[in-house]
Formats: sequence, structure tokens, C-alpha cells
Amino acid sequence: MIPKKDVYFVIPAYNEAKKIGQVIQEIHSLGFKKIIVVDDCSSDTTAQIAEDLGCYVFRHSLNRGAGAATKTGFEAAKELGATYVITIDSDGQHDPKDSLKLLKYAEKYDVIIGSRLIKPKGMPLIRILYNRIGSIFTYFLYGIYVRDSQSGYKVFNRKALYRIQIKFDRYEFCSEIIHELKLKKLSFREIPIKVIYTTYSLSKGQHLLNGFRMVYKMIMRLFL
Amino acid sequence: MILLQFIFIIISILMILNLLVQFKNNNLKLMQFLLWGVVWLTLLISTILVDQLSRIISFFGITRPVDLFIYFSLITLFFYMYKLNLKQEMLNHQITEIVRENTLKKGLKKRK
Repeated sequence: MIPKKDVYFVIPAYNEAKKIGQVIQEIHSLGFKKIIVVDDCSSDTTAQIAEDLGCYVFRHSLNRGAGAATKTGFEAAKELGATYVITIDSDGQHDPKDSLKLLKYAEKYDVIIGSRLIKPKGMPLIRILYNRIGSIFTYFLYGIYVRDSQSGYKVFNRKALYRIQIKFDRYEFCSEIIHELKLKKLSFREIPIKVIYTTYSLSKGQHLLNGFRMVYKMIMRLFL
Repeated sequence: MILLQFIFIIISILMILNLLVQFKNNNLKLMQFLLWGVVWLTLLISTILVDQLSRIISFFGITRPVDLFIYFSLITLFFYMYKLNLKQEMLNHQITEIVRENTLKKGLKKRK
């Protein structure tokens, strides 16, 4: 059993004042007290809310994207001495209770991926399609297949935290992490998670058009 | 000499002169100077020696000298697009690193 004091949550956030408070409170109610919120230069009160709720708040002075914010969160977690890091979305689409389930496997594997696509019940068809395409492209480009390569709900142990190098600033970092699992020979397992899709969470995150830009960037990166 | 040839010759000469001035003032690196020099010289030569060049390039399956210039320009443009993309990626990465460094410094300092 992993002690909760060793676990840091990393929440990259951009203009999430409506939801972030609820996400933080739910994590707190599970007994996790160490939460790092990386505010990616929001124009609303995201950072203030997180600070008022006792989180470690790191604020980007320029908007750099979800990948960049996650990496800042990783660096902060290293500095603060984290043994395990859980990344979770700030828009409320992930159920913090699932982190207990993911942590059960974290002692055996370097990375646990919370997969929305093992039991995609309640997930909009377009999102299923988008994420499946994302996973196929990840496999095609990097030669490693996971069912939900675009999931933002993951657990990393210390070894993974130090070995994984995130270079992409935007959403491409999800696929990059999968690539890193292969390159750095890190063990991983996918565990089904619940996804809470609301009008709000659907308006956030990745969109199909973004996907084309992501694929272009990922292909370009192979040559740059 | 047709009017179009005359215009091309003038443009090429002006561009070569401009290149020389820019290189002399250290606004261009040697590689850039050479690359663009070759581009404008190709245009100049292919415009003046249309007939002679036509015979030479026909060996390569290119029928008109102006096509040679167009192919060459396309390659140069793609090369520069690639270089700009590379530079943009590098700058983006550097900006992110600076932002991260400041963010961590401020965030951790506040905690102490």
C-alpha cells in the first residue's frame, strides 16, 4: 500500500475556475494533501482558487500548453520530493476516486495509464473515434500500442518521473509519453477509469481539428 | 531579346548587388549568401544563355531554362521553410524553458 503522503497530484490548468475547486476538494476528501496546480497563464481565478485550497501553485507567465504545464508540474514534484505523481485533468472529466484503483498497481509498474477506452461507456462516439485514431497514429509513429494514448490520467513512479522527458508543449505530449515508455523501457499497465463527460468537459480538451495539427507536429518532429 | 528576358536580367542583377551589400554589412551568413547567389546567378545565366542552356538541360529532361529556375526555386523555398520551422521550434522550446525556470523559481520561493 502506497502511503498517501508520498503521492503528489499534478494538475495542469488553463481557465478552469469553474471546475478546479471541485476537483481539488474531491482529491482532498480522499486523503491526498499534496496537490501541484500548474496554472498555464489563465485569465480567470484558477490560480487563486487553487492557492486558497492549499495547493502548491506554479503559474506560467505565458501560455505554453498542456505538455509544458505537465512538465513544469513534474519538475516541481521532483523538487518537492515526490515518490509518486498522479496527473489528472482539471476540467472534472476524471473521477479522483479512480486514483486509489490506479495506485494499487503503481508498486508493480512504472506507469499506470487510466484508460477511458477499455470500458468506454458513456463516452461520446466522436471522442472514442478521436482517441482510437490518436492511439493508432501513436503506434504508427512510435511502434507502441496502448488503447488510450491520449489519456491525461496517469500514475508515475519516481523512476518514470526522472526518466520521462517531455519535449512537446501542447497535447502531443500524451503520445510522447507513450513513446518514452518504449524508449526508456518503462513498464506500464492500462487500467479502466470512469469518465465524466459534461457539456463543460466536452468543450475543453482535444478536438478533431487539433488532431491534424498534432499529427503534423509529431511527424515533423521525427525529422527535426 | 524579349521584354521578359530584359526584366529578369535587371531583377537578377539588382538582387545580386543587394546580396553583396547585405553580405558586406554582415546581414547574411556565408551559406545564405552563397545559396541565394546561386539562385540569382542561375536566373541571370539561364535568361542570357537561353538557347545554349536549352541544349544542355534537355539531357536532363528539362525542356525550358525557366523550368530549371523554377525547380531550383522550389527546392530552395522548401529548404528555407524547413529551416524556419526548425528555428521556430527551437525558439518555442527556449521560451518554454525560460517560463518554466521562472515559474519554478517563484513557486518554490513562495513555499519557503
